[in-house]
Amino acid sequence: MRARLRLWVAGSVVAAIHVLIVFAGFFAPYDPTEQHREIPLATPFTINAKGDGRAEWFTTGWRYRVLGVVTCSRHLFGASAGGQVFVLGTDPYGRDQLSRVLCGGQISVLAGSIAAFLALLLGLVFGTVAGFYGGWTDEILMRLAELFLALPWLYLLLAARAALPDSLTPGQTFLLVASIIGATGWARPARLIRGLVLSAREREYVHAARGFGASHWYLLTRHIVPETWGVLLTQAGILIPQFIMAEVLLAFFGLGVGEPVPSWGSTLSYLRQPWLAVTAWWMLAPLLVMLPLFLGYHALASTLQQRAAAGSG
Amino acid sequence: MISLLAASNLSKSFRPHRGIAHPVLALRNIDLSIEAGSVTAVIGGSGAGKSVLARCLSGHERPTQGTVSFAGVELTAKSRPHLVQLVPQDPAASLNPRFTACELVAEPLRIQGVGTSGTRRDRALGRLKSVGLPASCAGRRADEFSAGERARIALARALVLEPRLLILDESLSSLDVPVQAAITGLLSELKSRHSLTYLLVAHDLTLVRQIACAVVVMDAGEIVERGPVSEVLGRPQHPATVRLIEGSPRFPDA
Amino acid sequence: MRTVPFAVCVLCIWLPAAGAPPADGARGGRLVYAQRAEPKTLNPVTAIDAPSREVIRRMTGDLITVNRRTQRPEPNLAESWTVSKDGRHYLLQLRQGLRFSDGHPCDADDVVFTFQVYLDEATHSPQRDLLMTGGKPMQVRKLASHSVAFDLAEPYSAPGRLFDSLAILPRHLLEAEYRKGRISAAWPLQSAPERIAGLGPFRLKRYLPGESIVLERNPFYWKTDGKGVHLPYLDEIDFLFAGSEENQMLRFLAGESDVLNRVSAKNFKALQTEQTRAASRLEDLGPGLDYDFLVFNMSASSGRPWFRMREFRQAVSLSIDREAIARLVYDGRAVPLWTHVTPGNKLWVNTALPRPARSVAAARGKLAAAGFSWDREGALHDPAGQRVAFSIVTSASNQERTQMATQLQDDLKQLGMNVQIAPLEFRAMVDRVMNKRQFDAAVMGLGGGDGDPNSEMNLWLSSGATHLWDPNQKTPATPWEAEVDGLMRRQLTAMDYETRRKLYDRLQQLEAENLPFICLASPNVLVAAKSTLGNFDPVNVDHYTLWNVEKLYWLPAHSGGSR
Repeated sequence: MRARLRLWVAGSVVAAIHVLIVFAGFFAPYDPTEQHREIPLATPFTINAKGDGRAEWFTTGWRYRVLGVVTCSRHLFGASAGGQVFVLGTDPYGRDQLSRVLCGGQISVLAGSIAAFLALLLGLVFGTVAGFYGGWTDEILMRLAELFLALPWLYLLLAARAALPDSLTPGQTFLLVASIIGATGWARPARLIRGLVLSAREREYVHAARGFGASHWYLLTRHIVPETWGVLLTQAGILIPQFIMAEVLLAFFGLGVGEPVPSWGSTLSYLRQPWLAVTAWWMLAPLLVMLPLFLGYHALASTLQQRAAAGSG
Repeated sequence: MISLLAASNLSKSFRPHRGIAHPVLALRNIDLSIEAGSVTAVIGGSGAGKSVLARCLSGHERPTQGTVSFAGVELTAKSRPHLVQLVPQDPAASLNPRFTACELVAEPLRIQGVGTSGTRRDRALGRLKSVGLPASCAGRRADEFSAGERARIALARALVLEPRLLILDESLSSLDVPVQAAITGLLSELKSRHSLTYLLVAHDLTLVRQIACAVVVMDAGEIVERGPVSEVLGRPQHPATVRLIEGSPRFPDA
Repeated sequence: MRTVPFAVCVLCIWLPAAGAPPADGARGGRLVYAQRAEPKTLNPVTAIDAPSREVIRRMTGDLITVNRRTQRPEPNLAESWTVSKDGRHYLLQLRQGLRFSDGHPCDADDVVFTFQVYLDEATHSPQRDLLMTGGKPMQVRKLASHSVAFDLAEPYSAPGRLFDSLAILPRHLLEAEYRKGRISAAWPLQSAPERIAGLGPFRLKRYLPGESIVLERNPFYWKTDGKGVHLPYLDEIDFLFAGSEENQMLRFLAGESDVLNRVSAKNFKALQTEQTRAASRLEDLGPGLDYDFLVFNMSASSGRPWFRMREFRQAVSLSIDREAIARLVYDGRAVPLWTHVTPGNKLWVNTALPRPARSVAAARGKLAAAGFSWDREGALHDPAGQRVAFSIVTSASNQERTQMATQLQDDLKQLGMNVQIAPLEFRAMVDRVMNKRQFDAAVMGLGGGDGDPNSEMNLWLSSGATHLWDPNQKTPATPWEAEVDGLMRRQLTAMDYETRRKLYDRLQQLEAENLPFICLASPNVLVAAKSTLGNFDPVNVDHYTLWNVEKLYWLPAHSGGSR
């Protein structure tokens, strides 16, 4: 019962944050790249400091796209001409923190999700091939996986990122960053999948199907891979937040998507100047969204794992 | 007396690998002929090679030597599934618990690429009906059935491709007695309805006396005695046969 | 060559200082100075990094020093000198009774030996280039025990500057090493103190690896104060290795160090707590000699034809919000710049140059007049129809320049230019800009030194290696660069300041018209010291706080500065 409650709460939190992020444009009153140089590092809740203009609900403002498809310009709230509504303050260039946190979430979460998808896909393919065919294929793939596991992933990431050409558009950089994170993270899922496949391969119904003349492809797709869905789901719950964190770290060191596109990491990177962390504490704002998200994912993943263990026990 | 299935000079050895230190010769130069319409039982002590023989005949294992032919023609991977089918030792385990009964019975058709999904479904339902499972339970998952029902599903699966010879590899051993009796009855009914031939691997001699008409005795990979049931079990010649008969409890004929 | 008026100058006079004359202080106490990075060597011949030079300069003496406050050359080890009419011969008289810090006497032989070492190609000293005129090394001759003659191939326009910071080496300690060809390896950090000797106010006392270098008073230092008391006043200087600017700040705030040599504007702000203000002097000395700029790759191979169009560069310069850079990046403690000579360089800055106000409209007008156009989405296209898009590289570790680049990106967006920022590791960036020329534009900083145009020869000569926008030209690529070449060569050999000044003014004018690089701002020099430090007289040129270290002393209210 408690597990179910936890599942629901965690699931709702994660879903709510994802909704916030998908519709970031709606919830963000300002274009995240718009610099207001007369008001750098404004404190949170700087609303109409200048006295003219108003903050309003449901205004029309800057144009944004939902899921990259639908263009819209309606926002939950905003400021009319001359007004200011900086709910979470501004950064050193005078850009609205709330907008940057929301829109930055799009980059970070999407990069993490794409990376997780890639890692799980690679892990599934390599793990299945290694487990199903065994022999030399298995040996080679598993040694390769061990190599990837032994390398400190952060340095691997930094090295791979540094080796890329640096005059890339933010879009290209984004795809590359997500690909690198995913491509370096396939090893652990692959080992898990391999174990599953090894045991699934020996099941009687697999032998039976083989006896009916089933091809390898049929066995893999109809009997063996479906066994892995549970593990893949749980791993997704673990890897997505991990890879979001990887993107945040890369961006923190200036190796993520370039300016002026916001991401949680680049928004946090101002904290590399220690004096800023002390005097401008609202620069920690991305953590407001990151922490519940990670906690939610963690709760989801561990509940799923418990259920899987109870189910098969 | 037409010979349906003929094995000639069949041998099978297992290479040393994990768990087995030396090469093991499981079958040695087996010659066997099964007549159409018969129920042949293969008996022997454990390790005699009965299961190996069954699996070599059904195509689940590849013999190291020798041939298996059906009605005079050597069996190929393509022709075999439509002619010879194996009902494995633990019928329940041979069913993927996530699949529904209908999917399970239709699976061999699907693997062999027979018909469309619609016709496959119809044939599967028909088969299920013939083993006593109504269409209403066709949508239930395999792990929701009882052991006996799962045995029926396994049978239906084996029959959906309409083979001529059905090999049962100790398939009834895991079932308890009343269920066994029911399945045995079903087997007889199917045999007469579809003109099937059975090859039965068993260790329960009561069962053998009940349903088999011919018997083959194996010991250490070889066939040591064969013949009609009454003869072999009534007047055993080979010491291995004697050991078997003595070691098994006798129930009075029901 | 203009005729030089009667040029036998005997400069033995203390020129009046711009500030108050130094007070006579009391002896005693120790100064703790936290360094940002560790020194690498104590060898004056080979040291190039700032921390090493910081320490070495306190231990060594030069013949003629440029007073950092007055910017005029002063006698140091040479008590007087004469210059010949044609500016090619110097005759220096050494002080009598000079001794190295180990007591050994110093005379003309040491001077001749010193210059022999610096001028020897095999030594690979970075100072060697500074001692070449007309492509030839100077000749050094001993005339008497305390008198040395220097012969130059061509007249050199800044006589005092030839000798400033050139440490005189002890022959009795280093000649053997030199003969063995090992002088470049001499005097590493862990040398025994008795093997090192110099003519500066301090000498080496102790080196603790990874921790500090301690210098103690040189008992044989020649200088005395007004009352005849032997300088330096301080007993010891303790150079602590702090490792980073943050650490330097922490130590100063904790009272563990006594001087902050140069801090960033953001840290300066953090210093301004009441507590610190009570106990320290915080000084904003105005702009120094450093300048930040945006430079375009104008080499023919760059593939970006717009960079070579003057109107393009002028439009970029008009659209940049320099005031916002000074305000946001440097917290207001910087001056916007349009040409590279900062207001802090009073001797050489050309104040008559125009400083056009920021105007995006005027910038767009210039681009339109040059044939550029905008499409429906506002993106800029060049006369050939190609979209104007390029990348700016900066050093990833320099927060200020990265911030500048981001602001530039936003400014240029208003002109319709699509600019990417590419932060690179510092050495990688330098390599790509200087050596490989694989970049579009870069935000960099230059400066330091002494502000004299001679230090910029390589930057302004079109054949120079650091002619950043288009180096190593065989012949000048443009008429204005040809004119600049001529101006630089003439000022090098002009003998008087007025002539040089006019030539350099003209150079700055050409710079303002042609914008080979687009200057952005110059950060102010910000220093701090404990308020009980007497004679603390910071200036806006290197070395900002310790240039008069021999005169620093502790006022009576000080509690000793010990740890």
